[in-house]
Amino acid sequence: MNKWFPLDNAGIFYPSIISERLTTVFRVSVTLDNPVKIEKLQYALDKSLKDLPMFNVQCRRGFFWFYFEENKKRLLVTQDSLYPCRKIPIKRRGVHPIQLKAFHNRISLEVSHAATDGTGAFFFLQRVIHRYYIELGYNIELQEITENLLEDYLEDSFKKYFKPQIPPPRKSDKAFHVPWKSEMKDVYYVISGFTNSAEVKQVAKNYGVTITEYLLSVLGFSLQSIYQGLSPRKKRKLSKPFRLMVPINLRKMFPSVSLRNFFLSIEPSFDPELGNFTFDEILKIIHHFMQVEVNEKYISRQISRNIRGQMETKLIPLFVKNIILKSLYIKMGESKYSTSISNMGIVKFDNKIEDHIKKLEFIPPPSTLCKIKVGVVTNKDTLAISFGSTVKESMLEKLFFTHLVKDGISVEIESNRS
Amino acid sequence: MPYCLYCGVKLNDRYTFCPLCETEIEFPQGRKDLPPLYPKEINKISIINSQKKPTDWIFVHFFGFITLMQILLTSGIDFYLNNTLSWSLISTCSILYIYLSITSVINLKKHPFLIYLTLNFLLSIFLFFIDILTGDFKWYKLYALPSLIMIQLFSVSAYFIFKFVKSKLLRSVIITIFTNVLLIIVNDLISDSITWSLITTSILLPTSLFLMFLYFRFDQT
Repeated sequence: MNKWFPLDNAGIFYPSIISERLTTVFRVSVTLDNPVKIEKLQYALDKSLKDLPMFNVQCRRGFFWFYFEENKKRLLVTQDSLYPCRKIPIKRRGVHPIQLKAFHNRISLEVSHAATDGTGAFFFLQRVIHRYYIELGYNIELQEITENLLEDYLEDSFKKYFKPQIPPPRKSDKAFHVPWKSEMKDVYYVISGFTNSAEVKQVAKNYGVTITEYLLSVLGFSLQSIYQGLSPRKKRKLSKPFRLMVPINLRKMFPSVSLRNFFLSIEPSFDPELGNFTFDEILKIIHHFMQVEVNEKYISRQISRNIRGQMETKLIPLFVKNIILKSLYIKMGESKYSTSISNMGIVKFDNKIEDHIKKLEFIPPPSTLCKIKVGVVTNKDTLAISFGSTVKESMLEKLFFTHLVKDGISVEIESNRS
Repeated sequence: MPYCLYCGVKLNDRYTFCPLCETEIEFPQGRKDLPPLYPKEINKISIINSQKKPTDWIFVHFFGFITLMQILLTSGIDFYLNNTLSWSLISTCSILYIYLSITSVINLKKHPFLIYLTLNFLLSIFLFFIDILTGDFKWYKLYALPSLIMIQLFSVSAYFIFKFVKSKLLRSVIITIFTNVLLIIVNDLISDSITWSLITTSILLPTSLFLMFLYFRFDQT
């Protein structure tokens, strides 16, 4: 592997915008059936970092951009904290963009978005868990990582699949945000609902949509219920479209195995000014929107926007970018959507250890404007829906999960709220 | 396994109330002791935070060296020209003041209250020495000390206002009235009569009245 490499196209802005609240850190965690043995986990982590050196890095300042360089410090397993996804000061020397935390039966990997996206994080977590069980004496065959494969993992796929002739997409207006105040900067509440994936699939099938579309519609419907419950004055003030962001894993669309960021988002929306939508109407809007927009041509348009953005700001020195980018990100990025659902799909482990895996969770990164975000991941027959929220009110979560219960899906709740 | 009667979701024995609707849960058959899901502490000191910052250390030492050189240079020039130390004492005093305030901010980064105390203490001492060095002990006792004490009084009362008064409008009303009263007192102390504080009163009094009007208006709605 090279001694240094630039950040990928989506991750390149993240080091500039990191703050105590907008940490851009997300968490993937796995709950095992027995308490974690820290010493073995540390060995497993050391070996996994050797296997996948793109995670054994530190972020350094260049004149125009940040870049990643090999990190000579050893990454240690740390203790978990009450609130997940706290800031990782990646701009400091010797700090890895990832952290591995352990608590009782749970192993959590916290990753700064600058390094990779959810798919990359789950790949690394799988590697660590497999290595951990090998340390415990299990006989698991690991995929050998050759030089060529490593290069494929390191590829910046945005640049590879960029077509210069495609114009960027049209700009959208501001979206509705939940009218509650954020808590102190360290506080990040998590409410996770564990459901049976077969049940959710059956319900979605009855509606004639996919699981993501169904969950999106329930979230949209809950948002609308919150809006309807506001006072007329507030309603007038907050009357903006409900726009839900759905990150799309581009590895399914383009032949890439990159372990860096390779995702883009599409934003289905509906406008409260047109009246009160029924659940079926919302389902229809979202279903058709997704059918149309999840398409290579539409997605290429967004890749074009990202690459262009990077090219246009290329010659501004880094210290100027650091000042501008944060407010730009909130203004241009976060204000455009109300909330987001990231569905990581099915994550599998080796058959020999599948029985030891009890739960899998994906907690989205906290942010300033979109105070509540959702992460979904499926393992075996459990679909875990995790709400990460910076506000005290748990109204949205309540509306969401009670809607699932009404549709006949049994939900088990876990939370760090006390 | 208990269920929440309101939301219909399953819960485990860790919770005494539903995380979604905050309804209390009853356990007729007793509650199992499960290990906690998350640690209780926010865990402010993780491995990352306790690492020392080398940049601060380098800065403090480099800055100390520069300060020492400046003092030596100015005193040397002064002594060479006049055979005594005269004007260089003022510059030495100022340089030391700047050095101490910056390093105290760096060293006491995590204790804002201590920073506040040190900076105020340094300022009063600095002014005291400057007054002595520039001539006879004239303006410090008359002007600087009363103003400093007033500022301390103002900040202490602002701290308590922010602690006990939650409404933003009410806070601003109290602070404007309080500022006005303080200014009048300062004016009276310094010039033995009320002169310029009439102008500030003419601005601050209507402002506070307007804010008060707004406060009662919003309180009613």
